Amino acid sequence: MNPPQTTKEDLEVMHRISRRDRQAFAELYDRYADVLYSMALRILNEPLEAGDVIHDVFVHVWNNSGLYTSELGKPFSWILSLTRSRAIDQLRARKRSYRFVHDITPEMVDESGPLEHPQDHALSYEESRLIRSAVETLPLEQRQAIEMAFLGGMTQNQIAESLRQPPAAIRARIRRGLVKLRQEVKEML
Amino acid sequence: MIDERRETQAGLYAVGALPAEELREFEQALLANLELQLLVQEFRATTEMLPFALPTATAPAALKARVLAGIDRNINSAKTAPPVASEPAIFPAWVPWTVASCLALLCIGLLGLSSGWRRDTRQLGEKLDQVQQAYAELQREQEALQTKLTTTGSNLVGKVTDLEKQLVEKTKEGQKQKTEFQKQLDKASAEVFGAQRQAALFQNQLRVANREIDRLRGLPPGTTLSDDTGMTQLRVGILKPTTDGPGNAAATSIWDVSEQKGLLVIDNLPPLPPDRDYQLWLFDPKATAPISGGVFSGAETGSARFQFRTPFGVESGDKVAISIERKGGANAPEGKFIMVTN
Repeated sequence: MNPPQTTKEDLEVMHRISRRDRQAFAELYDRYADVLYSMALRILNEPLEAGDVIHDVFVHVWNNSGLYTSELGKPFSWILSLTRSRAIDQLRARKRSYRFVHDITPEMVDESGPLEHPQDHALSYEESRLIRSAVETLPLEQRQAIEMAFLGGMTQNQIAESLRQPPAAIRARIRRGLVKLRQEVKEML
Repeated sequence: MIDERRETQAGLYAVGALPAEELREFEQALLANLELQLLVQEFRATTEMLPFALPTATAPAALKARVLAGIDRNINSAKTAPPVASEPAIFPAWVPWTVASCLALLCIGLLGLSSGWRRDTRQLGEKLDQVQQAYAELQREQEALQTKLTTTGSNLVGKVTDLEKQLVEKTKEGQKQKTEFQKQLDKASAEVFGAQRQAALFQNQLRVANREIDRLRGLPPGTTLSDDTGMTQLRVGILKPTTDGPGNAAATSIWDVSEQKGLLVIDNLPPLPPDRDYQLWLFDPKATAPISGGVFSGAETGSARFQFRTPFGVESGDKVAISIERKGGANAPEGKFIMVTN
């Protein structure tokens, strides 16, 4: 379930970056900047703040590439974690709450079609489409609970309070959603 | 096997929503459970797919230039030194010494703690010994109690056996007493029966005597006499055997005061040897000694009647007795009285 064909290449890129390879850093940026920016934008709902988060994350990666080890997880996992936590910190600093978007807003969907150079991106257009389809199979309440936790940085009690549901219901939604999503992704990829 | 609760915790943990109160316990379980670790890893990998499912927003082109400019500034400021090598310059020179001092203080503290721990260990060892001694003491008490219980049980069994024996003996004794009482009751019943027979005999004798009186007066049998007929002059005495007399003998005497003659009726009075006679005695209050009513020798059947007279003017003839005397009789009673009136 890793982003296909990326882990080995990512490790090599990280190794080059630790040797101050500016070109390798640019490749890493091109591969993940869009997906990370999309996530930061989804969390913060503010393009400038999302841009600042991406800037800080990539500079941090450059400065700390020598400290990276595989024990921190896959390179993408590490960078994703950095982005997510910084975006959530920013959201809290601004005293805002995560805003769940029920439907995928048409104007936000990438309608550009297949990429000209798919190897430059973490996932191909087709792979992204499959994952999106898998997520869309989840009942709305399950997707909402998972997003509010993962992207909004909310605990089960905060989600329960926000949705006016018992915590046990939120726990059940998150568990069922993740189990189903795991199964769907396994079958698709 | 992972249960539903753990699976839920794993999911919440993967998305960062596990409550703080469950976090510590879950992480400890996670360390010890490889299957759980794998599940968390899979959930994390799943959540890492979520950003790819979001609507794609292309990062602004200016952002890349800004990021590259940012790292260029770092490259310039650090010259050719790699990022890792340049990090020590961040800390002032006194920091390592401070860290070393802290470590030294920590060591001293740990030594103190170690000494304290040794003391605590010694005290705990002593407490353990005390507890073990108390345990051994309790075991001894338990054994003593067990022995006492066994002894008491044996004594109780012995007592029960003794009681059973006593009960058997008492039962036997009771049976014996019952048999004895039954015998006494039978004897008493026989005596009552004998007395009843005696009473019937006396009644019969009385009827015979009445008939005899009637005959003597020349009256037809069954005639009832009134007081003015002289019936009040008759004295009747019922004789019973003494301890020296025959047990089943019976006798009745009738004395006519006016005529100074009487009739004696006897039953079951055995015959006497040839040198002996029965002698009848009358007791009158005016006389100083018993007055002889005559002698008789009895009969083969034991039953007889005979008339008697006396020249001494006896008025109270209801007190009579029979004794065994020498052949021909005596002037005063010499032998034992065998029958007397009440």
